[in-house]
Amino acid sequence: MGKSCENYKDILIDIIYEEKDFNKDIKDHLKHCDNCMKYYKELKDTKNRLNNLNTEPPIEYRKISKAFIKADEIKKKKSDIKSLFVFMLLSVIFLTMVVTLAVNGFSKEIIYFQISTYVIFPFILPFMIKKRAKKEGYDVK
Amino acid sequence: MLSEIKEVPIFMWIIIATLLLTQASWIFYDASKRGEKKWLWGSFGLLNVPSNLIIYLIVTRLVMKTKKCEYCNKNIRKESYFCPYCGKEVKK
Repeated sequence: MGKSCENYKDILIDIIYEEKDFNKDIKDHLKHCDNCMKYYKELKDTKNRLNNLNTEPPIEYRKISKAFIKADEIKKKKSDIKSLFVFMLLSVIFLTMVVTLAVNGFSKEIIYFQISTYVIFPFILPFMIKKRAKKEGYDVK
Repeated sequence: MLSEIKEVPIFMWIIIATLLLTQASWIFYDASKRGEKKWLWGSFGLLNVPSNLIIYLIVTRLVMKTKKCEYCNKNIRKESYFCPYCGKEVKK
């Protein structure tokens, strides 16, 4: 029993979607059946028109660029927090050593060091400001 | 007076150490946000409190970091989105 036009129409749809190839049977049927030939031409025409339509949505480059910048900022923030934890851990170790030394008879030396930093650092402040201003390109007299 | 230094109780040292840790951590985090040398400033903050914090604030707030405008090559503030000289949009 031969196939009906409905069967051939289903096969033609598969051919348009490139899921099946033309064979002798379909070609012979199309030669003799005007309805199926007309149907096949309409399918092909519709496919060509759809291919020619620009269906791509417009790309908003500014939004994409902002998203990338935000992603970089989040990545930097995570990295900053990670380094902060490492710094805090090292600081705790350092300060524990200092307190241990202070309690074991080195408190005088530590306090002398503290007093000297209180006295010396304010004097080097103007030089630090001048050096930084020069480095950042400000007019320095 | 110098002989009385030996009498400083341990809890005073712990308070000072806590203050130093808090100060140094804040300076480290602030320096990292601003693109400063965070490890250098953080270690600086561990040395004494509060004068080193004041020094850090004066140096970083008084002299703002700059970058070059890619169009007119003038020095502008690092956080700027637009160049105040040529008006063009600059990369952050």
